[in-house]
Amino acid sequence: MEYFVEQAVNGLSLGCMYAFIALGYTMVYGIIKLINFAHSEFFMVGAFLGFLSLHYLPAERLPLPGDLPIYAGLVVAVLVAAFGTAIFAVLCEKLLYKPLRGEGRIAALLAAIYGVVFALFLWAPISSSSGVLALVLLIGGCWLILTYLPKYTDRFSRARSPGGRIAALLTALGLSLALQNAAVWIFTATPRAWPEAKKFLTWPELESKYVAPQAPGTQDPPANPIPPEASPTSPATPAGQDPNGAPAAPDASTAPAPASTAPPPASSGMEPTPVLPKLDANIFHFDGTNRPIDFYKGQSIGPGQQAKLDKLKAEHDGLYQEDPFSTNTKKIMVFVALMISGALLYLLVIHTNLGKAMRAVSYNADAARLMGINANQVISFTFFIGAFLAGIGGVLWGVRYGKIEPYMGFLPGLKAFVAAVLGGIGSIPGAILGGILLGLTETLVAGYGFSAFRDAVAFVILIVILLVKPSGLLGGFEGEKV
Amino acid sequence: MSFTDLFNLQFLAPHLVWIGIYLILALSLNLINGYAGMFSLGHQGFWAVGAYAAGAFIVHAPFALPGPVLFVLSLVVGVLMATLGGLIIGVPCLRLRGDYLAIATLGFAEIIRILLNNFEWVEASRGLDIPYQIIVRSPETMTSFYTFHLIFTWTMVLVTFIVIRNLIHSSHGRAIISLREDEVASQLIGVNITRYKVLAFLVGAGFAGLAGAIHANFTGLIAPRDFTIIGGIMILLMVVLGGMGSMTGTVLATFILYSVQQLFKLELLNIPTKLAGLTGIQFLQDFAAGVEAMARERWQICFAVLLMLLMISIPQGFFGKKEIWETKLWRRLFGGGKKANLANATGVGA
Repeated sequence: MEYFVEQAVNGLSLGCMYAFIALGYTMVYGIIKLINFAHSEFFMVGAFLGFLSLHYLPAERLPLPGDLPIYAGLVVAVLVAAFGTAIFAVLCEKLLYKPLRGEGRIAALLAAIYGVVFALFLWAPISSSSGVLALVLLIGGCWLILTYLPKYTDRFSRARSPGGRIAALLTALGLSLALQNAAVWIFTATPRAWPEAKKFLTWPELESKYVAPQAPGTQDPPANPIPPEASPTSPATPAGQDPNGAPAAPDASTAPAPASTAPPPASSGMEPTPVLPKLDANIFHFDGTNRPIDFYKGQSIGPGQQAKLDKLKAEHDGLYQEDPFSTNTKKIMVFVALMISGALLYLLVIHTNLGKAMRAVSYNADAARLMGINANQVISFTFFIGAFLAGIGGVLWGVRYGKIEPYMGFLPGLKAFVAAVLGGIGSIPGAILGGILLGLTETLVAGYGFSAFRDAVAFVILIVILLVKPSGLLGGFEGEKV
Repeated sequence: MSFTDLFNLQFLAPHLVWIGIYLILALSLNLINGYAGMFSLGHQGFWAVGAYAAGAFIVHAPFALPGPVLFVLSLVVGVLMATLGGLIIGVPCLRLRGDYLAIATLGFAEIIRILLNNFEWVEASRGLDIPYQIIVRSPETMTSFYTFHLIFTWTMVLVTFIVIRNLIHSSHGRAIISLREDEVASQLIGVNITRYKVLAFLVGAGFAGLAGAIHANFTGLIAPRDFTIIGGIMILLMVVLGGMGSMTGTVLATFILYSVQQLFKLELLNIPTKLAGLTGIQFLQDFAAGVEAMARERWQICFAVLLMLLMISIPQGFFGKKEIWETKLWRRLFGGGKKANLANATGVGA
């Protein structure tokens, strides 16, 4: 019985995760009848935005007065992820899905793709030879596309009929694949530990574990690898920091050779001021040198790598505390967050004018336009809300499971769509109920000996519900129009 | 690799066989998606069933058989099992339509893949090793191996094309097309919609099973990871890009998409870089190197972006519902065509 309760609670929290994604799915499907496969990638984008926010703006680095509690960083991460993802989704909708409805400008999409491709792929090789030319090509190219292309493409888009639903679905799939691969390129396919969830090793532990001991007298002592920069905003030492961990006070036992030859400049005369380590490596992978720490696993240090290792040491020491939340706290957190978001969303859709407009567009977009509703704005707003929730969900996924990766969105996204269908597509309580039911079933099936088939459960449920009650548990009856 | 290697049998044959396999898959999906108007996202499931049925039959054949017999029987078993799969999946899904059907078929395909992933009888996720029948693949027999599979696969492509074309042009085919145009109206004029939906689904699934059996016999190793949703999207893309309901369009799109996908992996991509090197301008060299690196390493993103652009700019595909000889361009180039002949014969219009 105890095992059952434990599994059920786990399933509940997993189901809450699905529900967070399912809410966005159900709203977008409800309003434009498009299975937005890219929604699961919005969830992934949210998780990575939260990850970056926690990395660059943990509680002790926030530009706020006073000693902030540890979860302040998480609150900021949730806000960053939610708004960042929502804005990103609205941009995608305006550039990509609007032309599909036969309304937007293809030129804008082309300019955006040109700009993104240029900035991501071509900037580095070109700017190495001529930075100004690269800038001219970037801005000039976008300007040329936006100015001269509409002449041709708009005539073209007036002539063509808006794409069918299969074209829309394939576009959504294409966006999903593009975002996945872009994330793989930027963050690599290696799963990342969630900053707060993983207690990073301190340097002595790390060195004893990964790096083979070095013979003393190595040449090439690092010349001040990390310049100690006093943070102007937050002079306080992070709570719980190991005094040995501050890079300004290296201990001789861990790195004997450099410490003896090159005393750190911070100790010359002055009192060593507590500084925060620089945080620019280890997240991105742009030049092939800033590998994650695992890259050094089992390698001995060459003389030239000493500076790099010192940099890594500075980054890793005392940066992360132990996970501030216990597992039970996380489960409660996820549940409470879902309940609050769901309630607010329900109030928004049922009791505000905007919600009324959303329901109207969902019921009949053309009639809603005749009543003076700006359907395009309402659709954009729906994407905003859906991706807002997906962003929150992404951060909570990171907090709850402690690991994020570029492909994290795909399977939960599919299951969340199943949850939306299970609850009745277009219904907010339905999405929450469906998500929770799906999570419960999946965890219980996995918990009682069928863990290999946990991913199949969702699809079995989908097919059963589609055959028995296609409108879903809480969905209304949809009559057939002839 | 040099340019002349492109015309080498050793280089070209596997690609041509793969184009053949994709053609059978795309043509059969075109029957379900394009002509019958049922939006299926689960073709990779039937592909997997056919491949695994053929492979498991060869590996676990209960009695010793000579190679050619085993080969032919494995194809038959692959087709039959995939047809059976189509029956099991198709009949319950007939009540669904549109996006729901797409998601349900996708769900079925995923279930099949997950089951295969955990099925020890066929070596689970490690993949099933299938001994070659008829011609064993080894350095000495490479030429005959490739020749055999090339001829066999393309014969099967021809068979697929002719069977589906004749089906479409028969009275049954007109009934299937009427489902796409308007289900209720076709029901009103007495078309048995259940029967024709099942028929389209079964024929499509059967040919996907044939493609799977050829795949299993050609590669000698099949694993559940070969049949993910990405493969299904690739097939669907060939159909949609060619034009839903256009067989020649599907053939053209299959050639183009497969070639584009492979071009991203070829050495030939460094031609712009070499040309830029001849000019001696540093900036051009950097630019070309950047483009080459992008195409080489990030071809999935390029492919995805290409897919989005195509879907937005030509959502109807190359030919729409027409065949290639019904398009304006073809008529302008070669004149005539079926409809023009008809018009001339009856003396109507120019």
